[in-house]
Amino acid sequence: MAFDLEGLYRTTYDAVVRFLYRKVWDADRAEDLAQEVFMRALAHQPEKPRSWVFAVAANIARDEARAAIRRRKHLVLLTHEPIAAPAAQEDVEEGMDHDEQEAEVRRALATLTPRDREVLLLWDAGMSYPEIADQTGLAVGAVGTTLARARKRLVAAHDIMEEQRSEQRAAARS
Amino acid sequence: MNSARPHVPEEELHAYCDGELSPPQRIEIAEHLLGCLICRSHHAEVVEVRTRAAALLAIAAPTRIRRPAVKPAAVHVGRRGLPRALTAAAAAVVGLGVWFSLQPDQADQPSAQLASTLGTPVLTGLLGVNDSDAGASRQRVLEMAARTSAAPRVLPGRDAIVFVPRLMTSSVEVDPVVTNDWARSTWDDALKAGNGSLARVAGLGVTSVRMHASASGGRPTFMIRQQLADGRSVWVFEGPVDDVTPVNQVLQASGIAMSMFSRTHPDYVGPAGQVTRTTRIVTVVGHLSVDSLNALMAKVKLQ
Repeated sequence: MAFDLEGLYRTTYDAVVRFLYRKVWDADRAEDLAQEVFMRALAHQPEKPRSWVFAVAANIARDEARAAIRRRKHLVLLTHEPIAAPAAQEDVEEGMDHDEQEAEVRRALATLTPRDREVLLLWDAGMSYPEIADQTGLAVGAVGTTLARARKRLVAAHDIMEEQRSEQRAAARS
Repeated sequence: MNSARPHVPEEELHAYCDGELSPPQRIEIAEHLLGCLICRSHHAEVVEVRTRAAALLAIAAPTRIRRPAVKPAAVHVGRRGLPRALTAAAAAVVGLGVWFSLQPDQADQPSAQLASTLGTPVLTGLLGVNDSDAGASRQRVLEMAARTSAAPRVLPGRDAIVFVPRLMTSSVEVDPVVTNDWARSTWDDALKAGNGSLARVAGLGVTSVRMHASASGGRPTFMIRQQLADGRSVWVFEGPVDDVTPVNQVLQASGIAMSMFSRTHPDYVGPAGQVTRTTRIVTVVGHLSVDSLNALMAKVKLQ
């Protein structure tokens, strides 16, 4: 079958962006990296395109994380000027609320082991158990176990954070 | 598997909810769940954990994803000429779910739309044949569509045709509960029987309506079949709780997933002075994940 970039793009692009976003935590960067993934797919024309794009996305995200560590050393040289124009007040409040929630999920995800997190993110990206097994090297039968554990830990970690947050709010009120 | 078997392991319940088990495995577990209170309880917990984990991940996503425009992929024409080009084109049509824009004045004539669309330069260009050969190419496209199991579907209200693999629709063309008790009906008749109240998923076309006389004496139980954009069907069941619950048990045992229940308008039946209130519920069932069905359930409207 001829390589079908447009079909792959239409069905997978959003999932790849989300997958990358949860690794780099920067929407613009995630989109840039996703386009890089699809450029590579066009050049490579893989036989199993869906699995291939997520494998490449994972590799690119790993490289990006390494580069970010290197860049961090230079961050002190940057100015303190805001990058974007300040938003309207209500947008800021709404944004803060969403940012706060997202930060909690991010911290909850960080409590998972890399393998559990990878399996969870791949599942959320729409990959099947055999596809996840193929990419992670797990046995197909182990994917369900890993996924069950990852989901429970994510929810439990988030519950603990919510409890802590409500306790802090109660303490602040009193 | 029966209710005397060991309890279903947690990971298997996750795989069951994720739709990752084979149909026989699904049926085994569904049957076991019917008879095992402990596993039903575990199943409910797994459903909750799955739903919550998915909701958390949805928070950790970009608020808006920009999609750069992409030109339609050029179809590779092989050295062997037309047959390979046709295969590539048909594969592209199936795989892409390619949309062909239609003229608005043709919107209520599906077959005319299809014939007209297949004759457009867009597709003849894809096929790599001369425009003057449009009639022959149209016939070849139809043949290729049949050979590659591609089913053309006209999307209502979208002025477009999408080609979907028949494999996606073959298992859902038959209503899940078809007995002589379920009478086929028109939408208007069903609406009348439902006293103006019929549950359906907003935004999806209705492909068939069936009714089943209610044991409680109130409005009938309704089974509304609706079609998703990719051709798959879902069924909205609405009726008295005593009538819908056994239907859903049958569905669960057959491996068809169902959404959460929701209450709809109750019936008040019985003679004056002894009127009883009948609880009516609605659920969406189909060959989809429970999360997807719950999302559709959130779009159910009463008309």
